[in-house]
Amino acid sequence: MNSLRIDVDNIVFSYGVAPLLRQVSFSVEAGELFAVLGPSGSGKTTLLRVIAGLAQPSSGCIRTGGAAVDTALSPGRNVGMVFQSLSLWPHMTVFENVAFGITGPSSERETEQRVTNLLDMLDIADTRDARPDCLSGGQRQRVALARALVSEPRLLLLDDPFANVEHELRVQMRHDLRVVQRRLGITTILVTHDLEDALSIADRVAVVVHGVIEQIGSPASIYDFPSSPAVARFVGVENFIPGVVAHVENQTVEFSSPDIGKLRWSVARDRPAEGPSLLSIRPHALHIHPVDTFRDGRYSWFEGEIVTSEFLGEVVRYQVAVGGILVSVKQLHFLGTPPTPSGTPVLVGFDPTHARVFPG
Amino acid sequence: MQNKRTGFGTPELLFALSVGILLVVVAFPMLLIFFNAFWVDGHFNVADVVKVLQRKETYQALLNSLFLSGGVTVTGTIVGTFFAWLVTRTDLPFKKTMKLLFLVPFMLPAFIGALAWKMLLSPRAGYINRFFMDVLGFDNPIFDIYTYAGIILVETMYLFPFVFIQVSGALERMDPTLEESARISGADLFTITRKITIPLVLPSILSGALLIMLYSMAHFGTVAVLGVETGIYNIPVLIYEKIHQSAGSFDSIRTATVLATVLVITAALIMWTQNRVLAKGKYQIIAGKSFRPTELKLRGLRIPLFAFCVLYIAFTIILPTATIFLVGGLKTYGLPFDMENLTWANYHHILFEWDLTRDSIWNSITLGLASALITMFAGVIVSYVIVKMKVKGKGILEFLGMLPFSVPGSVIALGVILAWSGKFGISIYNTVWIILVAYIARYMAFSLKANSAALEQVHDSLVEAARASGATMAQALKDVVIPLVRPGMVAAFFLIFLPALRELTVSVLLYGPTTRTIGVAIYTLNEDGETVYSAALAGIALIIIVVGEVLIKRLVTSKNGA
Repeated sequence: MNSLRIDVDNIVFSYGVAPLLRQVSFSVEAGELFAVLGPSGSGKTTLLRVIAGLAQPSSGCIRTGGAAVDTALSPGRNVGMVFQSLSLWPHMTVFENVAFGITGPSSERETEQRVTNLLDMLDIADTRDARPDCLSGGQRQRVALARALVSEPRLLLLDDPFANVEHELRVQMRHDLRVVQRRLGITTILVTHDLEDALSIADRVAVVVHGVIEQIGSPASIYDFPSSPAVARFVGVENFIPGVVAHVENQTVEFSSPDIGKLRWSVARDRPAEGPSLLSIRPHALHIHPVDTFRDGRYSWFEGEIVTSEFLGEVVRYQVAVGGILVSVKQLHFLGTPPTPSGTPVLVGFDPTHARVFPG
Repeated sequence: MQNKRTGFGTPELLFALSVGILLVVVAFPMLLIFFNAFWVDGHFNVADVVKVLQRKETYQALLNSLFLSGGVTVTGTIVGTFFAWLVTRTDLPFKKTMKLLFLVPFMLPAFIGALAWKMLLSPRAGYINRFFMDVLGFDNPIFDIYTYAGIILVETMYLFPFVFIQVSGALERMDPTLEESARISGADLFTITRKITIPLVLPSILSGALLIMLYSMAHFGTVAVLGVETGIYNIPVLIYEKIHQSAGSFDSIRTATVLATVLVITAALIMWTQNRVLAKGKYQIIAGKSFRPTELKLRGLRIPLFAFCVLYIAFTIILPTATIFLVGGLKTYGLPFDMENLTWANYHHILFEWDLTRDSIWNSITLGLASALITMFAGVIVSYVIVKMKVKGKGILEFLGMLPFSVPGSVIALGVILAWSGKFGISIYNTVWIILVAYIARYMAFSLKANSAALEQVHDSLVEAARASGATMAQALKDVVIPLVRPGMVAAFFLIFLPALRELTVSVLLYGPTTRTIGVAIYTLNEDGETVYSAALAGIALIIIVVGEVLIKRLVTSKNGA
């Protein structure tokens, strides 16, 4: 299977008044697994449907292998797609479902051969004469994948295929998908609302919010350096503290907040702009200490009082009242240490280089 | 539900009451039919039954029933499926309005439609035929409605919504990605329709088709109105003739019971087939979150097909309805529709002066109200036992309750005659009470369906919570269960009241000199040649029915909205 580069260029899609997609552009390299991550209603499924040719964009174009393609669906498009509901035909057997996906002329023997090979590869050969409603969730998933792959498409589109699957099976299935995708080297676009799905198997991730691509990058860069509060929220940042940024001296930034006071730290590059800002920090980057702890100068410190503490097993999650706001803190749980009770005054410290500042 | 007392408490009382209601109202009359058909001179006798079936009139009725209902099923299924596809899957203009209009025939009684078509297309007197012969100079009528084809045509107009509703529902609920995944695979529209869409909605098509067949098989009015001139009759019509015109002789009663038995067996076969179809074809094709299915662009055919739909509605709904009202206003039947020939006098006469028609309206309304109320309450009790109580033998209740759903009206009427004409100490023949009993038996299944559905939503723990708070069983029922199933009861009431208003098949077998219902009055006036009064009364019936339907829709939607 030769893989294909795909360019999505300035796609706009309107339905009714508000546009669902606004000038969406990105490129997927040949053989890459590209994830489009976004909350429900962000337009990510519509984007996939436009790429598949199931929906007509208001403007913009799709290029595969450098050549522009008609955005209408045509038999020559050669796209494989797995739908969120899987959409297996309930009146056909597994074999018939998969064989239906073969486009173009194919002799009976050839069909037989291709379907059998695929079922073997996906480890579902023993289900070939069963109907979809007799299969387990994982098997149905594989049948849908087999049907999408049988025509040897040069582009594979996956619409949240793990959405309705329990966690353990989900982990297994996305691993299997990654293995098959690598083996076939097929360019793949995966749409998902699940952060873990995207981070764990994608080569690159695009975050879509309200029909706009907010950020594209490697999973780790998206996680570590979200480009906007919207992306930050989506990748699990919970604390957004309002304040004002000022530049003091060379390479030193000062953030003053009516709630947590003044913080200073030094930055080599990417200095945040001056003015009103939001300081964002993950719950697990914050640490709780007794109030009389020695304040290490490399850290920033503020005082607060624990409002609630929830023991979650691996971690304890605290809500700490600081000034007029609540801050979430997650602490690793250590054997035999009970959670600090609510009402306790505490000192909260963090490494300011782990914080991100957004203009607010 | 826990009940540790061994005595006779509320549950036992409810159970006994349910069994009693169903035995007396449903089981007893039905058993009498089989008993009369097979029990002759003190012993079981099949040979006589065969003899009755071999009579020409009997097997002719059977053949006619099969032929007519078969024909209506085929045409109704084609028409219903086509329109369903048109309003769900194409870019036909005004689809939503069209969809509502295609459901209107369901409101209109078929036998009133048959009357209208008789006035329009009877070979000599029909207005359309006369227009073609007198004005356009045709030698022969262009269509004779007094034929098998005519009867099939008229029944199709009123029964196709059975298929239309089922198929448009299935097409709308179907997950569009089932078809899209076939498109992705490169299949063209024709292949997708043939290999994906049709197989997936086939159970809905078949199920609607079987409903048409069930209904048409048991349908009295259209065949009685249109077949009488040329001697076309089906089983319900023959049962009617046997009961009414043979003065209740033993032989005619026996023939009727044998015919009724045949009808019951056929209906049971149809129901059985339908259950099989539904069980086998129960695909999970319903979408969760999804996109609207792709609409087929009709392009050049868009306007012609739209015009076709408008014409169809004009021809099958507006034309017959207008005819009924116009004929009802004529001074004498057969006059042209000129202003000088039209009068309000007929309407005035039947509403305010003529006892026969006034009684019939009063009878239908009181019978409808009484049967709806009684059946609604009885239905709650019986469904409560079926759905909520863990007692032995409730399967029997369920079977008995649903039985009348598949038993044709003429069979129920016959059973009621056998049971309550004095043979067993109670004689209510020729009174309104016998019609009431028959209505209750006929509509019990409607009430059970609506109430069971409502009761299934009421979780057992709600009653248990009331009991835990110290309420007695009766209090829990009154304060918790009844308020929650009230919407189901209201639905049941109207599901019964409206059809009862226009009922003909049952009441035509049971009416006495002063107990005509609206349906019976329209039918007998027409039989007696009082075409104009018959049409005027039909017009008034249409107004009552349509106003009733609209009021109820309003009432139900505003209640749901609150």
